[in-house]
Amino acid sequence: MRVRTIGLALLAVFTLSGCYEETSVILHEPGVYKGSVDPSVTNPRTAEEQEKLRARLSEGQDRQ
Amino acid sequence: MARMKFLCDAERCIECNGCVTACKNENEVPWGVNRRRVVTLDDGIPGEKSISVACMHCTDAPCAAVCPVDCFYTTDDGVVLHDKDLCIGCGYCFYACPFGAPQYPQKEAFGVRGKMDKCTFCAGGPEEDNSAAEFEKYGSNRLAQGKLPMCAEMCATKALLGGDGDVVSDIYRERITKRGGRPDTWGWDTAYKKA
Repeated sequence: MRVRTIGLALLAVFTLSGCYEETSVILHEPGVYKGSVDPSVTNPRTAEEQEKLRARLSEGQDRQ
Repeated sequence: MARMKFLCDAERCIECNGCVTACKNENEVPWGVNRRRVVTLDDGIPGEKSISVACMHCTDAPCAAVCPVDCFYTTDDGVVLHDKDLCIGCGYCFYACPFGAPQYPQKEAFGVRGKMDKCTFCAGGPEEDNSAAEFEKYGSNRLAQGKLPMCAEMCATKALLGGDGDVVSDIYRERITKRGGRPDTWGWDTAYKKA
């Protein structure tokens, strides 16, 4: 009887151990870009060009 | 430096799918790939709301973090782009993206996937600006021409805003202020419904 009880307890422990869930979140950090160079990265937009884009977005917008 | 962002005003979107069509037409997106989609919440029920979804050009892009070949980069404008010459079509970015932005054209039989394709904010890719090679791989480079993404510029109801994040938020804030209250599209009640 005792052997059976111990056996059942061990079985329960082994069974429940499978229910363990890893709760820590794996965080990935982006690596270093390995592709070819984009001209827009090497020649960033000038302040004037950026302002033109801003104006283009603002004009004609319905703000209601 | 500007950070380019999209924002879809759900109170204005009428699910016309004009943005989807404009994107496909402007960038000659292949069959089976949609860089932009319109998602409708509670479709067919009174009070349904639609939003246009594409790559959101995340500041801390999860697609870039999981890419095993490091083919993603972010431009000074905050646009997340990738190099198709490096992409191996593994699909990790698709699993990482909360918006389902990465798409894969079916290239061969047995479901073999091609290079990943996604919204470029109409900023092309790592090729010479507005070259034939750039258009073939990534589509149009409207930003280099001093224009904004076609989807946002084509939006008939001005629901889809795309451009400098500061301007986009200013426009949206003004709209919300004039309407009064807050939009009821987002929030816990939308996500989990009322108990």
